[in-house]
Amino acid sequence: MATITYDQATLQYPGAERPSVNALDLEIADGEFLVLVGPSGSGKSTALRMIAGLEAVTEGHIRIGDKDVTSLPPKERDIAMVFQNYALYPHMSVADNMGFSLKISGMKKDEIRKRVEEAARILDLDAYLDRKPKALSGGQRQRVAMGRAIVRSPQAFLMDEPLSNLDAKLRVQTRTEIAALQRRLGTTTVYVTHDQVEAMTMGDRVALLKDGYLQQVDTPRNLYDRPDNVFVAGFIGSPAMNLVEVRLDSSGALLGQHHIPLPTTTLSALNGASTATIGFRPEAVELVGEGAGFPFEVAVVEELGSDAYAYGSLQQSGASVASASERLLTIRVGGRKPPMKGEVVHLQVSPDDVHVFSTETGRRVDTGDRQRPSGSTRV
Amino acid sequence: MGIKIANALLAVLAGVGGAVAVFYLLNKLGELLPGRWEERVKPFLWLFPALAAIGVYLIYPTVQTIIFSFANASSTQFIGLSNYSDLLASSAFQTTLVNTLLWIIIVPAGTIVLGLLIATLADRLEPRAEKTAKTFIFLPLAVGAVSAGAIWRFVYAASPASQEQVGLLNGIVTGVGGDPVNWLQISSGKLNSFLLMVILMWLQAGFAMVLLSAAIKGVPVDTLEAARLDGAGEGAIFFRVVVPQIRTSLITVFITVLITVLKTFDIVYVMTNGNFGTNVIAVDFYNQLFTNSNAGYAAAIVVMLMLVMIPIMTYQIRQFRAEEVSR
Repeated sequence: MATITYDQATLQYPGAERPSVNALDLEIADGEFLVLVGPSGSGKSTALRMIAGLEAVTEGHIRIGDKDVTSLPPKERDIAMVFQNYALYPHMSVADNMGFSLKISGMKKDEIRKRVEEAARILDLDAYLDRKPKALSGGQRQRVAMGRAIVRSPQAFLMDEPLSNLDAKLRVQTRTEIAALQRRLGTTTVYVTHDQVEAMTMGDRVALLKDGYLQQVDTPRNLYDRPDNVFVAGFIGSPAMNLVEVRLDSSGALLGQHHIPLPTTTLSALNGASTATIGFRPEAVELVGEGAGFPFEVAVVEELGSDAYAYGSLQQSGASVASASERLLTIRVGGRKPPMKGEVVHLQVSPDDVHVFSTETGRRVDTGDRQRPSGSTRV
Repeated sequence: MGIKIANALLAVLAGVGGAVAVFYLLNKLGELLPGRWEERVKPFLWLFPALAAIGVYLIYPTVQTIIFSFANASSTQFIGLSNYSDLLASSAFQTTLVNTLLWIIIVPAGTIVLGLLIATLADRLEPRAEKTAKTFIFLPLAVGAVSAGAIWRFVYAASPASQEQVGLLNGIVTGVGGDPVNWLQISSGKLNSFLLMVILMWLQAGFAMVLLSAAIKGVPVDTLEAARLDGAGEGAIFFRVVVPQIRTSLITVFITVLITVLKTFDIVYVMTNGNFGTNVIAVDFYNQLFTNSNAGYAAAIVVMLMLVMIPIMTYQIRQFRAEEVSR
């Protein structure tokens, strides 16, 4: 087991206009479960394949433990990878699939058998060792791919969207199993996904990438509570944070005709800008009686049982503020008595729950409250 | 010219029209039958033309050939198994059998190795270079065996030592100071037979390459990457991950080439006419029938050829069915 370090690691494909991964600096602690997350084209898979040695780094370095592996071929890096389509060898039985790397390394047959059986027991694959991958279900194939990784006891596991081919229910179950297995084995793991729920639930830390740049790396809680910029704020959390561009005055922000007071520190940090982007999460909203808060006209209600989400727009002097092009705001309301479609409710957002971002740079403007230690890893 | 085109068009029209007319009439005939009989008989009426064609052009000649293989040279009298026993006892026919066996062992395997090698190497070229290389390697297949024989005659040609050498091989040999060799007449170590086999391999390599190249491209890239991460070197990846995954294509190529080998006639006929110990079964058949006018020997030879072919064809059909099922 080892740490993994990206040191200004850059990869630009020949003929591409910009690097797919741009000067990535990231240190993954020994035994840590780090999730690389981002939209498609963000460079997360490329970053993972750089550790594996399947993509050549054009600039910078990759280190596994103390060893600089930048120019080593994959087989000398001692890492195992779980592929999105599992990449099982179709002509080999489950046992041979799992034991292939050991066989290549020249291990004795009975020792291979022992280790494969042990891994199969952990993954509940005992009954399928003699089957071909074709005769397995999607979930079983996924477990064989995991087994192939764990029999080797490698320095690190790399997982490239390993759950994306499973149905929703199995995905949730397997997600927990993988996280539990990783905790048990204590092997450093880098996990790529485009699903922010997977990222939040599995990772010790989550690194969010966009267009090849690292946006933020932090614990799931900190990413959620203190997003560094508008992109992180919008990506993490489901439903997404409400982000609205507002005009500023001397004491706060104007949301339509409604005034949201902002701390003076924030206002001075905004440096006299006339607008800012404010964000608040759907659950940061409180329903209040008429006369208080903002009137909000409900357009759509999604009931999820325990909760309900209401989509709508702020009302201004009896007329709806939102034009057709404007995005609807999302609020969470109690699942037991959700408002009706077309109803007008009154909202209040606590100033503590308001995130302020500079319109110009998209970066967070610190409100100075709710400080949390950032960048912490699991201990 | 105009008349020829008109004739061709007429032939096409008459052929298609005739077929339509036959099926139309058969269908009408079926409709004359009462109720349920129409449903029962109609499929057979539709099958009838095809079955009749197969019967007349395939089954009847096969049966007739088997019968004639037990008859004398002019097919006038039955002589039991003596065609077979005479042939198997003659040293010329034994040479033919040994040669045919060597062709069977060497050419399909050689073609596969060659095709696999070219396909693998071409796969590593840039797309445009790959296309060009493949086109050139595929070209011999379009030339045909007789033309190939003519081309290779020039490669193996030998002129007297006093003259300039036209043949490529002898050009090289004399160029480095050796004496010209009459390649196709050297039967020691079966050299001339091997030289003829080279021609067929040259012809078939393109076919093998095209099929195997497509198969290699169909191997999922992530299994190769997985093998690379599993610590396999290029050799292990090729033999343990790529080759097993293209197994069905390998078998298809092997059997197709094998059947071509068993039917090989033109190359040997054009180059040596089976002389100098290079005879193979198909040439022997031809010479027995048309040169020696011995229909009995000729029929016995093809019956033996058929007996060899049947298990191979059966295996191929089984393999094909298994593949269909697993798909």
